[in-house]
Amino acid sequence: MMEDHFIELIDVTKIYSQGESPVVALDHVHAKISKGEYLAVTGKSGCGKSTLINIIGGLDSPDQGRVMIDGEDISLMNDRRLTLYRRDRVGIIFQFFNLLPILNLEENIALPYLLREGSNPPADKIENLLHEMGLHARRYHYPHELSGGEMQRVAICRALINDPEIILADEPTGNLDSASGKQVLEILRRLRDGHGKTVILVTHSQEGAAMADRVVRMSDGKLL
Amino acid sequence: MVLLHLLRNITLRHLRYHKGRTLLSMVGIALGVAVFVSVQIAIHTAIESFNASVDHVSGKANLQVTSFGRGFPEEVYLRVKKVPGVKAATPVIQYVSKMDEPIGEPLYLLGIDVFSDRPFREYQFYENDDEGLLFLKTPHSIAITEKLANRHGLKRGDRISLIVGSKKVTLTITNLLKMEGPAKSLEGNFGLIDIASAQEALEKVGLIDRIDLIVDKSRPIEATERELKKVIPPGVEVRRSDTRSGQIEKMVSAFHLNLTALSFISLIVGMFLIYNAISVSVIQRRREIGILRSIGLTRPQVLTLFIGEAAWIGCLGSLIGIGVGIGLAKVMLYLVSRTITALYILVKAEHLVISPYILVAGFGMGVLASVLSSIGPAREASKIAPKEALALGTLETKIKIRLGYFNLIGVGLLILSLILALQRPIDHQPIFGFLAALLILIGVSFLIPSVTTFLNRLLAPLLHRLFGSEGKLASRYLHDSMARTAITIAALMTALSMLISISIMILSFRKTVDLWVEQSINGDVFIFPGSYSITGYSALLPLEVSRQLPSLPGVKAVDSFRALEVEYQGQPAIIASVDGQVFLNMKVIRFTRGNSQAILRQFAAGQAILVTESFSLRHNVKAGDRITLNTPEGEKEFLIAGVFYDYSSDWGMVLLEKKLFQTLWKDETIHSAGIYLQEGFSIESFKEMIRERYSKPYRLFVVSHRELRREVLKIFDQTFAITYALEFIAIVVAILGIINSLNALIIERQRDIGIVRAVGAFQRQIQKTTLIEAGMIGFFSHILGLLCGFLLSVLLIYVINKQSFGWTIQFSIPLWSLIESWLIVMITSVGAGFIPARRAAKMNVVESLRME
Repeated sequence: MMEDHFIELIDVTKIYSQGESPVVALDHVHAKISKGEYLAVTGKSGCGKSTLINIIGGLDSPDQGRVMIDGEDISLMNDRRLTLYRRDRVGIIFQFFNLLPILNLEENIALPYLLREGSNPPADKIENLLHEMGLHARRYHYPHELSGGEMQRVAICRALINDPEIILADEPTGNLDSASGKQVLEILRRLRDGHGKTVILVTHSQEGAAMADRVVRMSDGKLL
Repeated sequence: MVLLHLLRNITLRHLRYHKGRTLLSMVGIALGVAVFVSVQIAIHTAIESFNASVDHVSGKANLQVTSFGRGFPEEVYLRVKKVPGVKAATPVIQYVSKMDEPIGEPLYLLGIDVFSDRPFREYQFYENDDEGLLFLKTPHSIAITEKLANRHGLKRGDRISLIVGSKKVTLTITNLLKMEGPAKSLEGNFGLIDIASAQEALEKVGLIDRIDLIVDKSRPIEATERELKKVIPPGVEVRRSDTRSGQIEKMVSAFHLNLTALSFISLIVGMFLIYNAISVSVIQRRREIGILRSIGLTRPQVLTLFIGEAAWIGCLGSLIGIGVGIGLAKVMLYLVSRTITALYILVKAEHLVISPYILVAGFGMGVLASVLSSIGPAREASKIAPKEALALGTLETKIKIRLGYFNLIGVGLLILSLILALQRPIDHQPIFGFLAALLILIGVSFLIPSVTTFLNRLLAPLLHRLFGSEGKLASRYLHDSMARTAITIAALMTALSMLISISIMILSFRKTVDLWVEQSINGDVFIFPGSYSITGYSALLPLEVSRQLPSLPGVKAVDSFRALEVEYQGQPAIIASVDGQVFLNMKVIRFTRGNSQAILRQFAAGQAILVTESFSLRHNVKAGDRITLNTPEGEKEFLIAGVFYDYSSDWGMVLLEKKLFQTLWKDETIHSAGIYLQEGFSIESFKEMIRERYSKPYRLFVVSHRELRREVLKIFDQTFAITYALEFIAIVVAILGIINSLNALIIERQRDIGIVRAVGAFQRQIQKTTLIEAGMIGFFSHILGLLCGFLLSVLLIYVINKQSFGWTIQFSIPLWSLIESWLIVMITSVGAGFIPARRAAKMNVVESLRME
């Protein structure tokens, strides 16, 4: 009997061209991730971890292979459907936070909801997230007024505002001090434990990997 | 050397790599330079062509005896040629006639004395005979140029019909002239006739226009002039031949200056484009600047590098602009010649006279404009600290605007412009007025951030409601990128404010002229000589007609008009005569001050004269003053009864009562007549009667008041066609500015767009956001353009126009034009946003996020 996997990568290859020479970022990758699983991906810089996240997150498309999400191949989706997928089913957390400097904390969090509904999210939704992340007092502050840890927590809130099933975190602690990094990792764990999210964490840190249900290593575009 | 190396290896590569942006900036500068060059070439050609005609016709004469008006007795010639120092003298009659339809072109007629003309001018004929110019003695004989003959399929022996004033004269072509010497006048529209034939055709038997003289150069010319003055009658003058050239420059100087100022608009708008292009370059190369600075490039070197980039764009753009300008000059020459002919003097020019000075000036201005506009962003680049530029995550490149500081400068400049606007003109030129206009543009530009921020804040809820999240984002983006958006808004606002102000000025002027025609030129039927449209004041109604008009059936009164083009205190002016009783009883004449009935009674009694507002301003005279005019009866002093509003000429006009004029000038001819018909007499039947009586011997132009009004407004609209053409180009440059600026913003925001896309925005949402932003730029530009345009229109109407032409214009707002311009701006702004919006929407999300 075939096991039912929420996320499945089948023979996924991604090649970037760097000048004249091609760089294989993902080399015939096969992976299976269950719903509600917390997976940590580790490996050296340039091994293809971020490309893996980008492809699962619908930010990039593979050159070869299939990316099945809940039975649907997102590599066949057009831009519109990929956008819908990103907006409604995925929350992405980046190493460099990627907050919009023109928006304040609350507005940054509300942005995905605003894009989907055309209006701001219900006040209690924002309130709950702000309380949960300990950001309530900073709600009207702008990104440049926040610390790295706070910015990353804002990015997590933004990733959660549309209540996605999948949380992708690309080196979320890479730009934070150890205390803030630990806080972020705990939040991610809570997301899996408390909210049942499927979390894929790309990390260098042993601490981050230790919190995951399963750890996979990547090297030269391959999953080991 | 280092800089040259960097310019070659880095700057030029960037320019090549970013072809679109480089091209857009070049086009902006090229159009600005093209407009300037084409306008200057066109005016220069028109002036040179006129001067060349004057020189060709003057021939070798170094002195001329001449008069204003119908001419002077030919006996003067007999006295003049005996004056010591005069080596040769010849009488001349000159006249611009109109070739009868279907040709309808002007023909410069030179009536010469075949016996005494030879030392003065050289004519080359296709068929020479031994008798020299004697063939002209054949009755009704004329020699025309081969160029003219070929163009209309004419040959020797053919007959040609001319309208000389109002008379139809048929002459036989007895010889063809080569395009040499005087034949080159009016581009070959030249005819040579015997002086006696000319006198007969022009009803000037016994009168001549001019005596050309060659004087003994071994004697002081002043001595000969003194001797000549002793034998000439009053009202006749001795002048040196070279003083005639240069007169047209005086006549058209106000027009020239205004057009030149207008031609700068595109260049100013183009400067904003360069500013944006260099700013984008700085943003994109921030990291590169950091690296260069970290390895030893100094701040001044960074500054020079970016100024060099602008100079390079300026050089190429200016060269292209010069090429385009020369091409455009031909069209411009047509428009300029038509306007100069309608307003001042007949000009016919076919071949462009391209002065190297104009080309050098155009090139220099293009490069200077580019360099000046790059200084700001180049300084910004030079201030970038290496550490800051090299650090990751420092995408915050936005320039912070200090609103208070900007407002202070803006208001300060507006106050300064007000002070300048109140200054008197320099040598009849509104130099301070133009400076004030420039300061208004700069001053309002400084207020753009505040006004835009305020309006943006005001409109933000509405935008959110209308366009959802995209509206909200667009509003935030606009606010966030104020430094760059302000420049784009300034560019579009500059072009729009000029369009709006000129529209207000033209409409106000049009309405004023319309009212003036309605009130002051209020006869029922008007009669002009057939060649009036081409020959202006040198065309006269036949005496037979003008004498009979008052006694024709149905005529209640005749408003006759006679004008002489003269010089008053070294400036061109017009002395005119009208019927005082008609002015008193039939017309509505508006005076600058005083009781109009009392003024007109004094005028009608021949006790005083009237002057136009432009004359009053030009010569600084007012009601109650006395002025001295040179009349055939010698110098006479006249009392000014009143200063009246008149829009027929900016030279300034002195109006004398008909009887007074005829007593002094012994001239009863008139140019035109306005007929007031008796109650119930039909206009059409009167026009028919005139045609029946006079159409055989004469060519008359008979129109009703409504037709005349239409004709006046048609000429008015034609005159301002060039203004709209120049404005159109400025708007095109501004639209390029929007594309350029939005592209810049998209590049600047690449990462933000990537983030928004990453968190779930559709391509169309990004596209829509950019389009809303483009629309908002257009909208705010129009609001500011209205504000600035209104201020400029007040300046144009009450300062620049008044000081240039001496006309008071009643202020009117062209509401429909403003709505039209708003619609055009909104459509074109959103249209200009399409390319950047597409670019933004198509951005690769991963690349955008990885860009640092």
